[in-house]
Amino acid sequence: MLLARKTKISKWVRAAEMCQGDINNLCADTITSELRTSRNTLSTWVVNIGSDNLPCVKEVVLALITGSKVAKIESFDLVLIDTETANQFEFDGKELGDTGIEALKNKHYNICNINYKQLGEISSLFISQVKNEKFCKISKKQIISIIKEAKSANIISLDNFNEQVRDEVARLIQ
Amino acid sequence: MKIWRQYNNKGIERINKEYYIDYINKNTLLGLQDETTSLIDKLKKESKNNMQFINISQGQNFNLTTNEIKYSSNTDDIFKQWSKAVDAIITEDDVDFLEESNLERFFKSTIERFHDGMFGNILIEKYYVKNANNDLRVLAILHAISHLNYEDIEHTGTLIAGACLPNKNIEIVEFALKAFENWGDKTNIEYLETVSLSDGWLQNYISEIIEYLQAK
Repeated sequence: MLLARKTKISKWVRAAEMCQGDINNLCADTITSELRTSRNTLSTWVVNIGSDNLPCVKEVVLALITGSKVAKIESFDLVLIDTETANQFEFDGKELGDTGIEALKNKHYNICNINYKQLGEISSLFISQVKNEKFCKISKKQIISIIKEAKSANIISLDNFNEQVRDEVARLIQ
Repeated sequence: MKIWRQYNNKGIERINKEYYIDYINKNTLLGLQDETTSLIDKLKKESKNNMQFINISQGQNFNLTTNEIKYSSNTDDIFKQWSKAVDAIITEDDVDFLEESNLERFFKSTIERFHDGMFGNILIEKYYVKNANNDLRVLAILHAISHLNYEDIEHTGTLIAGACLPNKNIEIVEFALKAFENWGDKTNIEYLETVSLSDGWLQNYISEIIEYLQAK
């Protein structure tokens, strides 16, 4: 299974440069800002694999931009995690995701029971993924295109979005 | 200290080399602390012998002398107090894609508080200049201004985001680009086309932004 987590790619690129291969030198700010756990978990979303065998993050994008905390439709970054290679971690899909699209709530997985050691291992994993370009930069142009496509397919409507961004979404897709 | 600068904001059109004066004196600042007042009206009243203001919306020009432009010590006090508040907000704030930050709310209220956002823009710009070497603060500023309406932050925002693009910290570059993308103003295309970045993914991001702006 392939998962995606919202993060700042530039933060990890910079962290990788600064620690120069030694994870012990990873700056604390990167961990505290990008790996802020809640109940020892980190939130991720399932990435579909398309018919071309390539990852398709459209559902992840829709799930994230319809989250309850979303106040602005803007670009964001995703780092990809393959659960088969990252098998040292515990993944759990019981907790429904924070998204305005009912059908996507169960596409949410937590990396759970994270402890001190695993936090370091997750940092190493993220640095490695960024180095190997296993990430996506989702531009505003792409987001608008994904919203328009989902709206045409009746997957999404303005009601799925947080009230704060509905006017903005309406303007963007008109 | 005298200050003056070119300005282009709501209701004020820039025609050739016309300048709108950021006029801040003791009385104006005291007024601004209470409730929003018209800076232009005060400027007209208090500088009647030195400046001639003509309604730009009627297509007329205005002339001025800069002799009377004052920058009182009270202005510095206001900036100091305001800066302390910003410092404290940034220390506790989260900067995350898609989400509103406390600094953004504070900037919005600062701009709303002053006529045409003019003095608010000055505060934000000055704060950026004083903290340009502090990555945490610059990131927080960029995230906040990227969420403001472009018309409210046009001059200051473009200057700050533009100044951040050559930054050696790619986090700052990414957030500066995000600002241009969020503002969605086509007039910035030419500038963005001049930007060249060594990281391929960031260069791709600029291309996406330019295409997005061109399609608007």
